[in-house]
Amino acid sequence: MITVAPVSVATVYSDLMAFILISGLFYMFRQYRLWRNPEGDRIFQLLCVMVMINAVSNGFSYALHHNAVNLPQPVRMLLPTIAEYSVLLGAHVWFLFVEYKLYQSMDRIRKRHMLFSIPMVILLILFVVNLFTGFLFTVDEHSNFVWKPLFAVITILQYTYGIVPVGAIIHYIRLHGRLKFFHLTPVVMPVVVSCLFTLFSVYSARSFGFTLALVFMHFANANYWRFTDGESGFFNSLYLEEELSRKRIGSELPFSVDNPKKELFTILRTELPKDAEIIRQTEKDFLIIMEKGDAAAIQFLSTMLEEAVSEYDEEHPEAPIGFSVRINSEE
Amino acid sequence: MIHLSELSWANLIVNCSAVLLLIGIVLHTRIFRKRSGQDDRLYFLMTVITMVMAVSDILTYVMDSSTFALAPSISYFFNSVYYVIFELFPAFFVLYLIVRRNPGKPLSLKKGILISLPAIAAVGMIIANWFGRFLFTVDPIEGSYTSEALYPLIYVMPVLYGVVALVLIFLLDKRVLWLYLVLILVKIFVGRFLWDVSSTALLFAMGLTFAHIHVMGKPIEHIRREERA
Repeated sequence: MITVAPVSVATVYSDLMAFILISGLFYMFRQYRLWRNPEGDRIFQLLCVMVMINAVSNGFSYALHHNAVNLPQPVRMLLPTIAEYSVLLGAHVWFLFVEYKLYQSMDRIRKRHMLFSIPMVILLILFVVNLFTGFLFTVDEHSNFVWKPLFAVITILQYTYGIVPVGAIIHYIRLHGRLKFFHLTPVVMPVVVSCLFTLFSVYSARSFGFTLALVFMHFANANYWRFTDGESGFFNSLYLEEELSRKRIGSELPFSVDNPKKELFTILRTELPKDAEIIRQTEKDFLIIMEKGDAAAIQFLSTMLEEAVSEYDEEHPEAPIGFSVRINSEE
Repeated sequence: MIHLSELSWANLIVNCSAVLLLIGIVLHTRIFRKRSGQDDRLYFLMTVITMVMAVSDILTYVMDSSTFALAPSISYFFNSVYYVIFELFPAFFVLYLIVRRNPGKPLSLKKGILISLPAIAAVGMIIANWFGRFLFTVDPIEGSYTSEALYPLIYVMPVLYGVVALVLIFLLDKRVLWLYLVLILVKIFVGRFLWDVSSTALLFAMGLTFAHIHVMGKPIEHIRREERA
């Protein structure tokens, strides 16, 4: 009969909660068809699966602590091996996910994937060798872990894989401004807290920390899909409703185009200042809102856009964008 | 001096997880709060009181393990706060579900108070415990917590509101019902038969997480239906 030792209860319980939370998340996003981006979502789903595997294997391996299990050594080491390797794999997929989220390019990932994957393959081989030799860690007759000094290298690698993407996000934010609807703190804080806790105590709450990070990354994704137009990536009319209810709009520029196409979206993205928010109200009607700014600023924006679009239209007379300012501003 | 037992550590971890989850929820629901709808305000209220509940629970375990003179009184106070929220949260959740079921029809204050009356009575019972100690007590010297003879009364109102909430969830969207059933079953079976880990705040927080995903999913479904039409 296996009895969960009091010292393992915290870990097993938090792993159980992590599993329930992530299953619920997965289920709800499937039910409500909140997966909108097949490529990015596939990476995200993989990340969810990794955390689930980590929660299950870690939970069971801690449940076995202080229990004598009459099985061959490699079999007894299988659960902690899966738990530790899934952290590495999870960190690797998190790396890929951040790459994708920041640059929205599967090609970029495909090009770099091999480079990122080589350490994973080497580590897998090391973990398999460890099953039979125990040079990284082993389990004693009561199923407790016994870490070897070399395991410190694995731990450093696990945390490096986790920290580098956070650095990439901060770097991206410094270069391109804040990511829409994404809050770094609630994603990073649970991971950092749970990892420090796991490092410096006898409890392991990592999978719950990872789960919380996933929940908030998903919240950010769902808010993004909810409030943005799929084609242009600009805000949609629902976002405008939310913004108007706050009465925080300083100035606005409504305009229409005859031919809304990719080139227009690029012009808008590159020409407008960072604090301007672009809303696509209908297929051809757009609105630029700014928290601050006066009539002169709006006039400047309008002239700048008009010039950029007419320059494009002159170069492409066969399919012009056709820009016109709508006169329905309250100002 | 504070010395935490292994089980107290488990409670601490579970409640800290709840606080972290709730902080994230508060940050990510900011844009929904700006709508100032009745359901959004109720949701925010539930988030805040659950956070207070988790912090109170952490403090009760810390106080139970402390030896300074005021620790038992502080422990009693936070236990009372914990139970007051335990009584109020299910009532607020029922109100929230009623508002969600009837979009565009705000619930009147009179109706809201009427629905909350059983919970208010239960809060009165927790306050009355200060004079009679018939529900729970904290030893004034050792600081240890003990349940008294009428302790099960604490569960009556939350269970009743829980049943009403499940019916409302079923009527609102039966696809999410099983998620809430799992949360309730985990609370009952794990708490009763396996380990006495105080996970109510975390389970409330998880319930709020699923409720928020449901809110996020709804408008998208609505937009898609329009697109298909």
